[in-house]
Amino acid sequence: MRKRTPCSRDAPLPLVIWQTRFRAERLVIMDKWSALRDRRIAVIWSCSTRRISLKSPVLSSARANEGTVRRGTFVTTRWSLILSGSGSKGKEQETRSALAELCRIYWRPIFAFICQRGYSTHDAEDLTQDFFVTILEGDWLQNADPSRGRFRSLLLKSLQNFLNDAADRIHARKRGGDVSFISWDAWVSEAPSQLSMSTQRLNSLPPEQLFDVRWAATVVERALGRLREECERHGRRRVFDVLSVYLTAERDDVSCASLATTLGIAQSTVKKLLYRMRQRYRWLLRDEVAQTVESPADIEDELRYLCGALVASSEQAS
Amino acid sequence: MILYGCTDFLPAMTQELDECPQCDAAVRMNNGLCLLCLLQAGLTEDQDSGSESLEAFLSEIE
Repeated sequence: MRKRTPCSRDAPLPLVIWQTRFRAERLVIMDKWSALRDRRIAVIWSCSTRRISLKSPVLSSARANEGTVRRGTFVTTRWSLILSGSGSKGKEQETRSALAELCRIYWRPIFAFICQRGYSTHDAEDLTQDFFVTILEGDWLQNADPSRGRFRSLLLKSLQNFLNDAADRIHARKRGGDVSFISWDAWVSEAPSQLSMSTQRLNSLPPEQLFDVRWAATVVERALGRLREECERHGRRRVFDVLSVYLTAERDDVSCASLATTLGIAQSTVKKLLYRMRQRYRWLLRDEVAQTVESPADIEDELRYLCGALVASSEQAS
Repeated sequence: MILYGCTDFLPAMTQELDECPQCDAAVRMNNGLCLLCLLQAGLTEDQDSGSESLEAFLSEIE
């Protein structure tokens, strides 16, 4: 456990608002590992290095981290806001805005899934557009599985159902039933894709796995983007550009002397900067995941699911 | 999959990537960082958001 930094009375408000809710009394650590076991994927949870490795497979349980979840607190995230506002007339606009924001962030996994199902890029664009309109203008949440679940899994299930009628939808669109929600150019330029995959690997993945990989990449891209913006706000974009490539590097692989020369700062400053950037990145990443789950207790499990999905995609391609 | 034109919608197509020396995964971000390693970093929970300390430190750099 990392050392807690004393809170300052003048500290700015945190990005998320913590509040006590009855739901928080329910300490939920979802056990989704059965799905991974079914795929015969072994995942290591090493307390010392905290790395999931393909090299030394050992199965672990998400329950190991129950102690790290804060009891009695609840974070209001986009997804929890949507779930709490679902069916409530007074919160309709707020709920719709939060849902639209999540769709805007996670459109790439949707699009990638549709493409991987064999549709042309043009048809996939139209279907993505129609899917989001269906979600935002219909009673998606009311009609969804009452046990709810996470935004990611609910979205994928809905997308699969939506595509069952895809042929009819494409036909209807060609008859002039155009609706528009997505601004492709704006969305692409707002957050350019940073994911690289080999053609062979991409082609080998089933749509569901590509959806998960693309989802994981979006979460990471968002966290990295926010870290970059924070550095830019202080006129330190170069610090981000140079040091961010070492966010996950082992200590021995980082030459602080070389980086200090590159940035024109002291070695000790490089070490402190890297430490703080790593800490901040971790927090931003968890915050991004938090926006798509119902409670903070689910963050760990969602991260493990995404890690497992990446491991599975590697197994698939090899 | 049918693709035409230059699209940013899907992952950037590259030649076969080297596997990550730390975890063996082969899905990377454009800056070369391993996606799995970046994701696993989030499995460590900090009590502190790190916002104040990072911003304060960035401000102090000469």
